[in-house]
Amino acid sequence: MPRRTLLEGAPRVSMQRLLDPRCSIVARLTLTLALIAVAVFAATGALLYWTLERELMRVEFAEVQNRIELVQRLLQESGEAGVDDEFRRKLDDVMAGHGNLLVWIHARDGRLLFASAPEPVGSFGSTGSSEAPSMFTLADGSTTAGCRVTIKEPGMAEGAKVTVALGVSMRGHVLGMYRNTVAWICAFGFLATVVLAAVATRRGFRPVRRLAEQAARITPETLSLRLPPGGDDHELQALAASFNDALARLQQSHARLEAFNADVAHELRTPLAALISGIEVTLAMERPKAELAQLHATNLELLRRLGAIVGDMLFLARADVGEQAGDREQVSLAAEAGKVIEYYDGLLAEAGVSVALHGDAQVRCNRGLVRRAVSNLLSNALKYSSGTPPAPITVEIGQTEREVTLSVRNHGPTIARRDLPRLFDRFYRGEPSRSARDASHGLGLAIVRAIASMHGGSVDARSDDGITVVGFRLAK
Amino acid sequence: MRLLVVEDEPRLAAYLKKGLSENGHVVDVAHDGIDGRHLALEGRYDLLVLDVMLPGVDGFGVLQALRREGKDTPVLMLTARDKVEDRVRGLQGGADDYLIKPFSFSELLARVQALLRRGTRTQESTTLALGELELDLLRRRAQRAGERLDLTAKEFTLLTLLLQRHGQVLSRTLLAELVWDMNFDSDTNVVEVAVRRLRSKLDDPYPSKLLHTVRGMGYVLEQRA
Repeated sequence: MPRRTLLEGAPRVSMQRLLDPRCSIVARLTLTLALIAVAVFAATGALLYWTLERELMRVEFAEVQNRIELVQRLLQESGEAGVDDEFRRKLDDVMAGHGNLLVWIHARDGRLLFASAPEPVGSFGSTGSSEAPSMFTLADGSTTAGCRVTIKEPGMAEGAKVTVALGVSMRGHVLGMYRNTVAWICAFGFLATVVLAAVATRRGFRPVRRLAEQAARITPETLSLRLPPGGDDHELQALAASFNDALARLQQSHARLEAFNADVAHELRTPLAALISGIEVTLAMERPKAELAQLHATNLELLRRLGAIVGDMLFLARADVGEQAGDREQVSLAAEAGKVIEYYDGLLAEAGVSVALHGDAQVRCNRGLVRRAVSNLLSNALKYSSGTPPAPITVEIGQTEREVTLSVRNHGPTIARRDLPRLFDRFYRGEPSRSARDASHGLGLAIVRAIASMHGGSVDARSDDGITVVGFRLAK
Repeated sequence: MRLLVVEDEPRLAAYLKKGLSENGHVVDVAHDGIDGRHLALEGRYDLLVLDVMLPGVDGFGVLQALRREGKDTPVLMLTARDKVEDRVRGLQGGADDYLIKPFSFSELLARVQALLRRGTRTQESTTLALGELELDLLRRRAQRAGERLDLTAKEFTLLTLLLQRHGQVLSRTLLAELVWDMNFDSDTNVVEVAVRRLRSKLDDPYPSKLLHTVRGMGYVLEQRA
């Protein structure tokens, strides 16, 4: 059977998924960069176009103003009457090289003296001056800008009107060309950005892919493997570090689980062995009825024990997955502890141990679970009480602002400091002297811890100079 | 009494039928939820023993169908999952009691008897007696052969329970629950010790013994020849 890796390996990615921006960071980044490129290119192009248009217009009107003055001077020299072929020739000289300028000269009485093109249609801005251009419509229907001045100086040409306008505009042609060019450059820039961005992001993600490949090599058998720190990329360093942390925790709990499984198997194996051999031996021969009944009774006890272990383990498993205690009610810890002590009355009397109960605290908790925790603590304290007769056991209840505490103190062998935290581990029985095999199966304190965690609490233990104190704290 | 056991595990179903029959009940068995629901709705039963996990329709479904039809037959649910939600769901759905697998037969029997008694509550007498043992429940006094037994409060409760159900084996778990209100299996022999102490007052001074240990099962109060 092929081993399933912990992370199921790097998933095979289809081309379609790779291009879908919802499924791929590379596709998403590429798309974003492409959109940015479109926006930047379009904005730049538009800005350049606008600037160029303004500049062209400025240059052209400077030309219009320049020529209108020349025409004016020419007209003043020759007078209205002097508009003849000679004048036209001079005018052509003046206009030489400015084929796109249109000129009209009107006499004072409105007669058209000169026209280089059909007259404009409609009214011309009456206040047109050499300073500000006005718009008007040419005979072919196109709109253009130009200036008209009326000669004010006294002389032969006083009252005549000179009009100069931009003809078939160079500007429009240039701008059209420019527009196309900018559009092409934008399109090219966009395509180039997309391709380069795709390549660059794919390259940029290479360390991530490498990391994924390394992660894929980690299986339940190789949980001790770690990811390399992630090279120089601090983004990946953080990822690798937290992944490694998670792995460490996983490895730890995995190890704990394996040890636990082994413990469970062992714990179940002992009563099973007794059951199997007991039944086999009994069945090997003809037995009297009483003996068979005896066997069944023994088997029943062993099976009860198995049932109890299974029940306790299921309980612990539920706490492990974070189940919280339900059915909570306000209870007095002293009252509950008192009930449990009453339950233990006979046992305590036989052992010659007395129990003193100090303090009280109110807490919202599951009554049954708390009783069970106190019972397990008490049974633990009783089991390890030493001395003849054993010194009294003390149940101490206290509270702080946030939590309530209950601890059980007994006189008995001091537990080594390093063993204290393991006291609450499943099946922990400590030093051989503690492993007296009786009805308990080493889950009592583990259950206390589970009950505490089901109430958002914790457990603690300390042991000095022959006094051991084990207790739990619950959130208020 | 007529009982219906709905349980899909054939061996467990067979043992339940055998055990309950031997205790004087008439027992029908259904091996899945659909048969179980049919029998529960059509037949006349005094009590249902209903497994939660069943093929076809689960125990909750059977219970729901039963209650919807207005039948208030007592129902004892059996479950392998002791999740609180399951328990709550069962009890809210109208179950009268529940037992978590693995359970002991004596435990099941005790609960069955309790549920059956609940329907036909005979008037509680204030005195109980078995042979030369007499209990006065009002004054909380116990006498054997005319001599007063010096019992603690819990010992008196324990003896009352054993006497009320004399002849019936009561498990340690049940005693812990009913006498001390402890709903968990303790890994200590608390109940054994309590019974031993009761026995030292009840039986030790007398030639005939009343309180007997049934190995692997529990305790029973009865007169034995």
